[in-house]
Amino acid sequence: MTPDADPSVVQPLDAGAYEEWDDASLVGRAASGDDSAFAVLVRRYQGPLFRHALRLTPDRRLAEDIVQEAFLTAWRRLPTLQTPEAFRGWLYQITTRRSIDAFRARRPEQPVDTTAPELDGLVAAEPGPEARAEQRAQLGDLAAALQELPVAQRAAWAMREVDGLSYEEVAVALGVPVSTVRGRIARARRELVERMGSWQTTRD
Amino acid sequence: MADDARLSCGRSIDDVWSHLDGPPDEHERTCPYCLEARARLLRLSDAAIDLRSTEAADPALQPDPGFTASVMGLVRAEVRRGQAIPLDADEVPGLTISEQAVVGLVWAAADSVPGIRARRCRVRPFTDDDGDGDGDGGEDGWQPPDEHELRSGTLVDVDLALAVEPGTSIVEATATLRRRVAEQVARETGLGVRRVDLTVEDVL
Repeated sequence: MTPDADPSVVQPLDAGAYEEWDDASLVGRAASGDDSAFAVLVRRYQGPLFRHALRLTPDRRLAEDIVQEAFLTAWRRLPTLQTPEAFRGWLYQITTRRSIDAFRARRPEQPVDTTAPELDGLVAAEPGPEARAEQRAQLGDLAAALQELPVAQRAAWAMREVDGLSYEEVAVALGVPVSTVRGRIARARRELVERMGSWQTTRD
Repeated sequence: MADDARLSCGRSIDDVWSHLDGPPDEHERTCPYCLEARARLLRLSDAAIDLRSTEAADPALQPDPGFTASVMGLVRAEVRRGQAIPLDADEVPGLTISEQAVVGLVWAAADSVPGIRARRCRVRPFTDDDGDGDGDGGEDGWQPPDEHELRSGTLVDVDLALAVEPGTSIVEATATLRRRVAEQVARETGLGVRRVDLTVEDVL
């Protein structure tokens, strides 16, 4: 008998017990209304999603609003989610769409696909002072080269190669077939490798 | 586009990429163009992973410190309570408990069983369709496990999805789980658990 247990209150696991749980279990719990499980998912994905939004739209405040909206929309839609594995693709889908829409709305005079790099946050995303200048230069080059890609290629390549999503998850996120995703990522990769010609000569 | 990526030896960047995971093939081992492309592709993959960890550690690329709390404030304002289940089937007007509160009790009971991660859950009041009042819905031979406890409490059916940790005896763990769920729900609410339907979704 637990005399102090209040049946009207959901008794979650000890704080921290969820932290090691797999995504699918947390998503299943959250789908049935467990907000503590959802909080772990928020903490797990807020950073990657925020950085993903920042790659697509340079406004920090806007990126935060978009990610917040993505989580809230995901929470509302969770009861209809068919497979727990789709959850991450879903968060990226909402974030990607809103980021691209917001960027287009902000800069109507400029086609998104040819926008020059202006992502101060990312280009300045340098390691700490102790990091090697070489690595810093290489990552700066990569971040800059990434910003010069058309937004659809940039989003696809970064989700796959930086954020580690599967091709299927990227397809969900972009709302296009997997074959299209493979094509976009291959084009982005060729473009980035091409540009690496200029950065590798400064090393070796 | 594919022609742009054709190396001087006639192979494409995509060809080289397709065996990047394994050792270079016979042609690649002796082809300077392929070896160079291979080196660049490997460097690009490494740089993508470096970019992920560098950005993840960069204080300038995190959402504001209050972000999680702000998202969860919005989420908790929309917590779903589910349907109201009458605690006592015979009492009018009756006292009810939210489905969500009972689900929380089911989870708490399930979480206490080693090797089990409880996921989606539904709790529904059982309606005695055959109307003979014995609470068996027309089934033959069913007896409530405890006549005294179930005399007036509403009967409920529980659906619960699970993941189990490897090495867990599913038969043993699910038997314990059914017993603890029934005990916990009866003790805290007086509801009688008629049935616990378990679906093992995953072995972790």
